[in-house]
Amino acid sequence: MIVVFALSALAGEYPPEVQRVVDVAQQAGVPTSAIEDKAKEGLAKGVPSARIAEVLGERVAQLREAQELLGPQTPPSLVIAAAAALRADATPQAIRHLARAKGPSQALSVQVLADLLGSGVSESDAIQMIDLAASGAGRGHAVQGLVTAVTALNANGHSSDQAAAAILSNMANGQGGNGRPDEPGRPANAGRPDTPGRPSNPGNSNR
Amino acid sequence: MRVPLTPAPASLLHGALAKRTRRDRRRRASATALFGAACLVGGVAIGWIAHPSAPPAVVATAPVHIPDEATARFVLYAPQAEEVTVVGTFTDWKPVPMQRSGDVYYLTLEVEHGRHEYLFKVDESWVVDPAASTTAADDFGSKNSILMI
Repeated sequence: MIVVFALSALAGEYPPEVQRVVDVAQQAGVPTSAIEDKAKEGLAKGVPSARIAEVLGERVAQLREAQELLGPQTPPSLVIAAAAALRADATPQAIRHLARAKGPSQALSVQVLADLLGSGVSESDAIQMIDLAASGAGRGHAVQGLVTAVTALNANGHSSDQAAAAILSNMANGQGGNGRPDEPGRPANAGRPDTPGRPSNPGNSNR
Repeated sequence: MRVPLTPAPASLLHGALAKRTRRDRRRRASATALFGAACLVGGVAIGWIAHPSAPPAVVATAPVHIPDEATARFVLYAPQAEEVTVVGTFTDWKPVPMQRSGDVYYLTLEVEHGRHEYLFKVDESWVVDPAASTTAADDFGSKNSILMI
């Protein structure tokens, strides 16, 4: 009854072929928020319905796989993150490892794994980085900052392997940030004397 | 003890980024296309500005740390734009118009903690935020900017 009500409530919100996939996700019991969000994104971008439906179909399959991997009681946020990791070619072992690890947020760790793999970092390096970051000072923030760190190093000419090695080396040396373990980070260029001036920020007046 | 800054993994970059020179940054800013942007996340600003007709400049503000404030400030330098909106997961993929002040568009939004994807829509063009630290493929053949709060 609830399913019927939910389906009827959703009816007409999306083009028919997109709606069909949303319905399938609902019936499959996978987190539909990720599916609906992607549908809205595709529609906002003017993507043809057939392509949206195709992408959604793949996502439903990945969500199912993630749910089977982690079990039916897994929180939706973790299932969604695990599906993203599967999409990034993470192995089930890696996902399970992070999903079972103690830490501030397993979903965050798994999502960061997906993003690190997407940045070209190897799975073993990614797992090491996440484990170290999650266990050190800063924890959630440190985990969250890993992708940004790799991207910044990439932009600075380092390969993803080099970036991961540099980050792991610094973490292993206990340089939580600028050599101060209890102060894990600030922007690398913050307060640097070579930072050029910035234009006035009209938004500041709102703060 | 200070709480770490959300988008600031400088701790992880110790040494490596220190080699970045002002010339590097200017070159990078000059190479950026028509738009530039800065995104202020939880009180921490990052980003740069670039435009062919404007002198290259880098936005790199000192952090103003507001750890519990789940807001994101978007700033876009787009002098030729008629309308700029922010569109993303935190807007339910509905366009939210940015305010204009001269050549700069800006908007501050309350955003839930977590990972978000977004883009700017500049007139009819989708634009990845050049100030975003990370992007991700959207599976539709393009990319989204990533915002972590």
